[in-house]
Amino acid sequence: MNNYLLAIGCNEYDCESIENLSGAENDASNIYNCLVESEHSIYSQTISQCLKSPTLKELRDKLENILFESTPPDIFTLFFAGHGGVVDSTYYLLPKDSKSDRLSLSAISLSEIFRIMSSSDVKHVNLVIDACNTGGLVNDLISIIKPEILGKKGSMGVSILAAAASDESAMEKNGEGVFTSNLIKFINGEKKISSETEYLDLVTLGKSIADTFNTEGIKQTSSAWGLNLFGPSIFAKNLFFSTADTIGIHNFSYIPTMSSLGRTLESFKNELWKYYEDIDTTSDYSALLHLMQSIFNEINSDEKILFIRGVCYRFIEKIDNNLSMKKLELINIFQSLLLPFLNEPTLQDEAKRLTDYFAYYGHQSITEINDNIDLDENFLIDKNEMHSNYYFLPIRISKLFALTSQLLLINDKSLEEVLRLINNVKKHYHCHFKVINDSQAASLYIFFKAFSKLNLHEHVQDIFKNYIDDFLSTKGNIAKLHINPDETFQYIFQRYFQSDINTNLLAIPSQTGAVFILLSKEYQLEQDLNLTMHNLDRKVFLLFIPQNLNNFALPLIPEGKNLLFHCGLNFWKVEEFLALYEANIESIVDGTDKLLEICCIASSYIQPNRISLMLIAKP
Amino acid sequence: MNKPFLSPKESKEFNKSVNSFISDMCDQKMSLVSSPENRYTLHHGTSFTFSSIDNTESSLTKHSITIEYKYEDVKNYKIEQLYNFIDNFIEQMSSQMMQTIYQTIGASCDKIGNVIDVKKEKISIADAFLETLRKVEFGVDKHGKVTIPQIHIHPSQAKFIEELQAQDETYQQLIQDIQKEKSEQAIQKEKYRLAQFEGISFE
Repeated sequence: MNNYLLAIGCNEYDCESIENLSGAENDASNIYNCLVESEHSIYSQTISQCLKSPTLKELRDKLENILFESTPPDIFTLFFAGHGGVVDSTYYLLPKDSKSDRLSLSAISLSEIFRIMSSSDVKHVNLVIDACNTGGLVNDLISIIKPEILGKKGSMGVSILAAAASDESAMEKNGEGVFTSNLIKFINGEKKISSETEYLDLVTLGKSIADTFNTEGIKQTSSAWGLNLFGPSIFAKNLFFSTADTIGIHNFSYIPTMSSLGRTLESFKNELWKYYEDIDTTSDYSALLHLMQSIFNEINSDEKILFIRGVCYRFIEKIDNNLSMKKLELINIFQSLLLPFLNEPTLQDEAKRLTDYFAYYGHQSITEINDNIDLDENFLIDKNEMHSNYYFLPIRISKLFALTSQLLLINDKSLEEVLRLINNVKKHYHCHFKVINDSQAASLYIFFKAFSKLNLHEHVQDIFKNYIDDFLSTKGNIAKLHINPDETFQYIFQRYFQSDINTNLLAIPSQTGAVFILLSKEYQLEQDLNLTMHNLDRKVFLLFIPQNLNNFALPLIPEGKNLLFHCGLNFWKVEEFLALYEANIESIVDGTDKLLEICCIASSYIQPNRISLMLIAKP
Repeated sequence: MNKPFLSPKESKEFNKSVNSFISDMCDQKMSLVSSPENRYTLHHGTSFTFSSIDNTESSLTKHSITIEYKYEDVKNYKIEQLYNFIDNFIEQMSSQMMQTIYQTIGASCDKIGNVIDVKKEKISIADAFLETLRKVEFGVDKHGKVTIPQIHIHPSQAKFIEELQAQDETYQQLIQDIQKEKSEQAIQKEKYRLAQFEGISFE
């Protein structure tokens, strides 16, 4: 913003009948220092000026220079301390060479000042006058309350702060105007108005000064007027403004505070704000989902819809457009949130709408990633934390695969871009087709099962083989789901540089092995796997079969069966594993309810401690 | 009024460290009866099945303990109470879990009939031990080494060990012969088990 200040203080008067003042120049200097020189200044230091006892010509020249010879200001503040007076219902500011018997020729009227400003491109004018009888300027307001000056689109806003009523003098004390010294106390933080707004405006300041005069028994009445205040009526920075003090639900949602939902959200606002503020960098999506599930438990169906529209979409909007994959992850959170309510038509519609958004942002994201990889083949590498890529890049690639296949399951319009991405990743990152953490089981299942379901095996068969080979090479020793961040390096180090990995770092049992064996037949790799299955001897694999899909998004699914497969004890071959599995999956529905399927996939993506087995059609 | 100068984040970390320490100590105690590879983490549900053809479903057993902590002790800085808390917790929790393990093993043995009743069969402890040794199967670990079964005896049964140690050389030789036979059987069984993998063949 281009904000300029012209501070004028007039102590000296050539005309003998006009008394010299002692504090006006100080007032102007102090205001100038406070508004322009301070570290919190919002005003341009190069354009803003302080004039001491200027003549009329100097004053007019300076106005012309600031308003017409510089870049048009957004905010222009004119401060005047000196003599002022009303003649023939017109208020005049008196510069140094004013003559008391001919003010209309030798002083500048507010009407003239308003006319000058309205013919410039200024968006908002702040007028602060510390002079006697300033209440008399009301007459001059009439000169600007005209449709051709105010009221048109783009016309300026005007805020005026006057030091004294039309029949009062503006007092000076200790070489300063009483009004200006109080004004400065509010600007420099000696006195506080509120902490809710980032900027101070003249109308609010005027009220606060008037309250101060009242409280302290100062016999002077300051007044403030605001006209056309649809733009920014900014005067100075509010040094007490703090987001920490002032978080309201409006900061992260479109929900009115006083509404029923708003009142419920009040008790969650700090937590929601924490996620909202850091949404670009947060990666703990399951915690956000759980928070939102707590909120859902306290609100009715109509409020749930309002929550989705007023909070969830606001979160999506907050995400930087360069991080569009994060939008997809957020959408997965919200789809998981709606999973238990898909039998309610209105909430089902919301889930469908979210799916449409997923398709839209998904296509956008994948195209962007492809374009970025084409420009820079190292695009996917985290260049800020190079070593961590050995642990995290394989996991991130799995997630990328999962989201792309989720997109294909919604509709196949993005097939070309998805295949382009697969080829890009194969070309540049095939060395990262590794299983590092058991959380990848959920992502890889979504990916490979989706491609199988869509009869697109041939595009990813080689990738599947790479993953299986890597899994076998580690003898199924992959990091546990909830490994501590400070243990991730230990895992990598022990896996690649030592003969053994500490058991407490490992997933026991692991879902990943179960997923690979389950899918091997669809990818015609069961014979290869049978020949190498002994590498997984004594390893235990886990699949959880939920009893009720409506609970699939809960943090802890209470009902269902944990199937444990012990390699070398109850199975040695893929066929034996599949036989055991099929004997236990009668409770899984087939994949005919697409929306349910998508929401379950979303839940599995956000909370990878469950596999979205419902992608399987019942045999 | 809010309590002054609380540090919720740091206090939480302290308590988390205590819990972590207790958890590690419990793990160490449990490792005397079960190896870490045999301790599974499940994420959902309360039952599990080792997917064998008979589909027997087992439920998780809940363990809980109650320990009293007095404000008075904290106020008087009785730091030994912190130690007692930790010690009692570890002792009680691991004791409960071990009890569950023994009960489960006992129930399984009863089911299969792998039980030797000294009184009923009117045999000596030494002979009962020989019978036990004949009934049990030795295992083979992942490195191919034969694993000898562990003997778990309640401290009140110390005479059991005394009586075994008092046996003559013929008895000791008998034990060694059974061990040798069992070890060979274990190796054969392990070969058979491994041979079920397509990728392994023994000449």
